[in-house]
Amino acid sequence: MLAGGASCIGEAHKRAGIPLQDYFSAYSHPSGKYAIAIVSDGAGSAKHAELGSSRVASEFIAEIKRLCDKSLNFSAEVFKEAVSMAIQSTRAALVNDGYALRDCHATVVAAVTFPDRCFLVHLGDGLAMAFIEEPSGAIAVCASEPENGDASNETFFYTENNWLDHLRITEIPRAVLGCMLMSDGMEDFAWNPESGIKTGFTKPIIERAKTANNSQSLLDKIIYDIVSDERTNQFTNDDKTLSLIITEDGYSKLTTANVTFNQYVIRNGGPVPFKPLKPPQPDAASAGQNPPTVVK
Amino acid sequence: MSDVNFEGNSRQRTPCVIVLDCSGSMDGNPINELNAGLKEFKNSLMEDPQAMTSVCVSFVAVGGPNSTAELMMDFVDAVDFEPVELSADGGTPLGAGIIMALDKIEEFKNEARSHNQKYTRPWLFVMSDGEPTDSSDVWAEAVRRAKEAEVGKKAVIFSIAVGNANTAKLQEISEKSVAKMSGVKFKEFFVWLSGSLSRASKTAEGTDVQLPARDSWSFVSGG
Repeated sequence: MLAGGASCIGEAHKRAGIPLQDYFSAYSHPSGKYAIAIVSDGAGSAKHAELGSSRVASEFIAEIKRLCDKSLNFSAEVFKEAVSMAIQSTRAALVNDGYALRDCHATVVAAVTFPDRCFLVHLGDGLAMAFIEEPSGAIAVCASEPENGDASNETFFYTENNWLDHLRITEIPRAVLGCMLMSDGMEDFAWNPESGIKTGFTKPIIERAKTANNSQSLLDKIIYDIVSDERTNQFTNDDKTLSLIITEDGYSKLTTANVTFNQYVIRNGGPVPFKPLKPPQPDAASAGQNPPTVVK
Repeated sequence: MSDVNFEGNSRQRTPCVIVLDCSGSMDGNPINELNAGLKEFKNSLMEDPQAMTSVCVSFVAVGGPNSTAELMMDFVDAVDFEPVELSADGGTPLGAGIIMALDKIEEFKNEARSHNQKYTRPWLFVMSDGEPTDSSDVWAEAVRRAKEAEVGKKAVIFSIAVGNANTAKLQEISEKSVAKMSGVKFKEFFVWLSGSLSRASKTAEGTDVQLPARDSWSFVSGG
């Protein structure tokens, strides 16, 4: 299993002299038994946003490693408790260090993968996608979409009082081929809420990531070249972060040539087959079988 | 290996309505500076490639020979915005202007939702150098609508006092402190506004955007 990622500061932040407020962290156990990736996006309006994003990312990795290093045979409820603990610890530490939580607002998008299952963790905007192998052998993408308020620049953060109400944790009880996580600076390139996955963006990235051949530094470089591509600035001046996990099976089975992904989305507490409102991308197809289980 | 396709979805819009006082007291240097400010606004927005196509602006003018509120410009993308030459005359039906602006904001949102168009929380700026001349009923309705929009997180409302404006009246429409323009620094205000709009950034639901310092055009900070 290989996990990596990269961030690139947005043009708006450069102009305003604001630091990069996105943060990612990725870890894959040397045995290949599990991998963790997390992306956190600090709120532009929060003066210590970069602290909010970096602290939760670090604590999440640490807490999940502790859980996985004890045993990999844990239930979804145990996993949920570990995630909650990671967030609560981060909140408490920020307060103990003298920071107001509202000054550290940040989102959470994370994936924890095992050879036979995967968890997606999501609070706020950004996008998480898991690529899974269905019983039929077809490849499906299961997307955890952003959650926004009335306005698109409004979302929810782990640093708010009602964070637990907006925490979405999904267990996918399938062989996982890979995961792709991103902050909202990248989400529009990968996903259209009306037509689903944008394969012109995601497929080339998957193919490039597979050439990393178990080198995290190479994977990080591949991803950095994507998030720092000048063409992104035509559509966003926000910070941009992308993180990938490729499993052992993913190298051989996550093929993209002439492959149509079945699509699911996680909505309203459960996974649903994705029904495009617009003509789907050429590779979109109808629903598969055995939808993932949602844990709340 | 195929190239990565960087194609965004339909661009997020940042809508902004500005209610401008074009009453008789603005005659002379103030209206000249306001007109110059509008041109500067256009120039500043054009310097930001993303703002050009994401910022939508609309202008409501109050005053004129019939002392009315008039929609000077419906929402257009910044790239299509062409400043209109304003003249100063008449009274200050500011309340009618605020009501018109809030109606335009709701229209914008309904239109955007019908097209699955994303938008940031609309901004409403109300600028005046005097005292509203609306009837008490109209002004009360304008205050009620503004407070409802602010409390309901439907719009972000800023009031700006120019010259000898009745700041107490302006304070009624928003919880934020009234910003007092230094002299007639409309150009500086519009440069600041274009920079602020292009930075309309992520916030927690229901919270306000933190704006850059207003020192370039205002001598009252905070709010």
